[in-house]
Amino acid sequence: MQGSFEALIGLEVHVQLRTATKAFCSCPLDASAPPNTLTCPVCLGHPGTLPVANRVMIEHTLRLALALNASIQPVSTFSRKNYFYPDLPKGYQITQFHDTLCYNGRLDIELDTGKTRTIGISRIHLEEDAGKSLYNSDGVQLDFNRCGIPLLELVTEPDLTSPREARIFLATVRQLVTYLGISDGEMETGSLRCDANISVRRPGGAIPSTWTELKNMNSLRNVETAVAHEIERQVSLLRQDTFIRPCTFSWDDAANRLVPMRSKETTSEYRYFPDPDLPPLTISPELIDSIKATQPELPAARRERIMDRYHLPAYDARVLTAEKTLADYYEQAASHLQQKTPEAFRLLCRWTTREVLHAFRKQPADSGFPVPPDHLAFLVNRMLNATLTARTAGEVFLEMLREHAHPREILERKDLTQISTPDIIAPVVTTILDRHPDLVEEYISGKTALRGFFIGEIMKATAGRANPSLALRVLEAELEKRRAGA
Amino acid sequence: MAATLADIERAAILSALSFSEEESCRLLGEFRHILTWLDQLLEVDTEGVEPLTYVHERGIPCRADDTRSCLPREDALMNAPHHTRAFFVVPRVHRS
Ligand SMILES: [Zn+2]
Repeated sequence: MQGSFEALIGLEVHVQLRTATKAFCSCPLDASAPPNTLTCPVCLGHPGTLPVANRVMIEHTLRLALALNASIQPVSTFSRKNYFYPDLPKGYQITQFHDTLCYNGRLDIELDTGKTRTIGISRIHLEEDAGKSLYNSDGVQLDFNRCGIPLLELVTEPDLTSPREARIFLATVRQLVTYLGISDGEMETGSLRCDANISVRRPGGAIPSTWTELKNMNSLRNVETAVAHEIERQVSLLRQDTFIRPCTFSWDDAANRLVPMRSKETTSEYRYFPDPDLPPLTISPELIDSIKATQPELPAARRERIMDRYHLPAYDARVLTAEKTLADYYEQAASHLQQKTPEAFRLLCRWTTREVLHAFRKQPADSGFPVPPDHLAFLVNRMLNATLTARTAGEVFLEMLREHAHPREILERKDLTQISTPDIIAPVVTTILDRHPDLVEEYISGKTALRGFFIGEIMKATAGRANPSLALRVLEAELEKRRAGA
Repeated sequence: MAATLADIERAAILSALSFSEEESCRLLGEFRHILTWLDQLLEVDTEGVEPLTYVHERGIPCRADDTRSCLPREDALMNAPHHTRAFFVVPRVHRS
């Protein structure tokens, strides 16, 4: 990379936790609610109110900490981070600063080469989100529905060395939080957000003292691109022996460039101090044990199990488990298979990772899988018991996407079932042979390659519905009859 | 070390406030007065005394993740100096 320089990248990842209520009050979470309908005196910062911590947000954080092999502090504290923005009605954000809930974790990421790298996690802590500001010509409109929503912040060591690694790390975090069920992990909706701290140095050089910060990278692709831009910028400055100044940049996706943020926006003295409204957070060993006992299956374990149980190669298992929802889909469909054979599992996998995934990616996000798993299993079952050819199955699948109907219904309506009775195929064969007496003669005199032509004609005449092996059997019998008669 | 006008200016930036020269001079006097008082506090010998952050030893009480009803929007907006039917409204500051 970048000639004789190496990059050091640290990420700060914010994960919106999947809870029913806000971090310190009982207001519900609902991104689609009309503005300012999900507030109460606590999250509006009215005087005389007191915050009470949500037990589930703490359990979610512990779940992630255990998955990252992080240390959990028996006693941690909540602090006030003071700053003046109208999106914070209290004038401070409740966060953890001096004693964070978890620290010293690690996450293994799998690089494109198949190699694994371990990335250090320096801390994981809890905090609350701010409100949403909408800017217009008259001023700033504020919606406090989001204010007080529980966020988990995870900070890495500067262990990442390339834009690609940064992207893979974030994708791995995303995969992990969805498997743990603690967040929906959607970057598009802001459930997963990421800032990056970047510096470059000569290989083996000291840890640089100057870092720049990148914000507003709201997709995996943006993270990779923005980090690459910043590394390039720093390297070219160093090549010209120019000093790198600490700066915060915002990624402008439309313009595909980094925009420096004004220093006024980033100069801050947060005056952290322990929040007197919130006593120390104590975590008992019993709580940790109960979380451990109910920890769901994690991506690596699921991949192993899927390979084992469904006789799938590692590559397929990785594609299926990349997203928890796809792995769930496959396993649900597999439960509807009539034959639990390796052949059946592989055929289902092929249809899941090609047809279903392909259709899924073409439709708008958030609309779920295009075909219910049991419908796909029905189609695969019919292919396996040879009452449906792969070609017809493909046609039925397209109809399923269009009409959202059960494949059985489509097959009945279109009469697309495979013809597996000799009584129906025999007259078709007779008609075709009668139409080509010259070719029949050539076949009899030894040009057996013509068999392919006849099969093609049979398929054409039956719109591809003839069971191929049955058609071949009937054809050969009829040709044999004609040879004997000749 | 006595506070200077530069300290007032820095505190103003961090607090997102701006002062006239006259105000800054008045504040500098008050600021110095407060700092003198703090210097006086620093004379107390606190060697070996653990900082006291919380007055009791009980840990944080937690609540179940159950929703409760929210404020009706009219009530939520009622005390705001400026609001529309749906939003709180504040003057534009520097972030855009
Ligand atoms: Zn509330």
